[in-house]
Amino acid sequence: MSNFYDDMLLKLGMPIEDTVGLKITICNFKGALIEGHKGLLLFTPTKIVVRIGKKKLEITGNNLFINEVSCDELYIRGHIASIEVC
Amino acid sequence: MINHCRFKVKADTVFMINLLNYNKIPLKKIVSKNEYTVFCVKSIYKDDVINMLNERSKEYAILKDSSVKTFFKKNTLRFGLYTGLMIVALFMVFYGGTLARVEISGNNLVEQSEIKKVIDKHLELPTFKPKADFNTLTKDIIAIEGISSASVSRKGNTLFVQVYEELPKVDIEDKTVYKDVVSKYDSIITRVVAFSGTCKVKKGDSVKKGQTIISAIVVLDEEQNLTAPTYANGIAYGRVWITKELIIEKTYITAERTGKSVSRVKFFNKADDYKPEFKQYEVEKQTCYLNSVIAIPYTIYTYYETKNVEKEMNFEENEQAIVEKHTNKLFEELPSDCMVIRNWHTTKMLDKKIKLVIYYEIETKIT
Repeated sequence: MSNFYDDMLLKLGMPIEDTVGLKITICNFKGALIEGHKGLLLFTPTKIVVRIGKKKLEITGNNLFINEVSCDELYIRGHIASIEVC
Repeated sequence: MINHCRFKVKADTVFMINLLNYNKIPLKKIVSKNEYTVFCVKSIYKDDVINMLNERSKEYAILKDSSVKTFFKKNTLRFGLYTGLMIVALFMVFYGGTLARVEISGNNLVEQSEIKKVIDKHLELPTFKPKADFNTLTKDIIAIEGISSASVSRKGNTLFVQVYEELPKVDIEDKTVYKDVVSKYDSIITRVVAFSGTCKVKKGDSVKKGQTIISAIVVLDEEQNLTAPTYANGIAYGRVWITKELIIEKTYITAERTGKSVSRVKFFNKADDYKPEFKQYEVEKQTCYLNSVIAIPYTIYTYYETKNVEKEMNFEENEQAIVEKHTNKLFEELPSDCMVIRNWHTTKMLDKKIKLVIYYEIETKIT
């Protein structure tokens, strides 16, 4: 029996084993909390790339900045236009 | 932010985030400025971050350190200042609350020392908490003869005592008693004016002390020898000679300092009841102030040991000073409304003594 997150990951086309504990929360497209990330790959005011297992999470938008980073959490603020897994 | 440390590192933002994240150091408020990255970490990670940056030879600067440890480190040196300020504040509270001075006003006839004696019975100055009841003190001040009313109030460290004296008794002459106007001195009359009564003397007459100048009897009819008593009144001026005879010893005893002394300091002008071990001594008092801002009065009492030494006086050398001293003394004893005509003195050398006579010739009211 699959749960809600597993369904979400399947719809996003992400393998479940690569994204254990990954959780993305978007607040009104003005902030995003990424839990269970594996590091940062790119950081510009228009684009932030975060590593999640074998894949990458691309966040695009305007005036993006990282408000807080802890060992498995990343809180991004700014006008978020899109979030893409590639 | 309290207990946080703000860093500015010359490094790529991604590199810094990954580096700290890998070492499990949370960071906040990340700002990328050109080639610099500015971020905040908790103060407990400060040393770890510094070590990491040093290991990787990264240029960095601590923009702000608001840790409790740094706060204490920064302020430890100021503890002396704070302590000093605390002492000053405590001292000001103590000084402001201390009753140290007494100001007496409104007394012209009653001696100030008399009022002060009453105050001293109630208050021992300086005092931090005056136990005396001001109402009782006021009552005791009013009890002094010559004082009709008094008010006692305290302002800061001063006790203000305002007294109101009784009005002086009016000197009413009893004109029903028929009394002659008599001379107070042996003198030669210079002026005489009789307002009522019969004048018995004229200018140039010499009169003895107690002699009638204006008689209280008026002659109404000389032929019938008819007289009537009246209230004698008038003024008479005369030339009076006032003399003072003095016997001066040729030797005199003076106290000389031996060189031994003891000094003591008393604050707030408190009297010193110390008794030195010297048989004979003299005290020198010097009042100073400890600080020019908050004037703390203190008195230095210096006790000098003295001994009596007998010395022979050279009268010829000191004659002028001695005569002047005694002449001035006699001048003070003269009647206040007199006019000095002249003064002189005579000296007579005896075996062991000197006889000095001072004369004053004055014109004064003799009635």
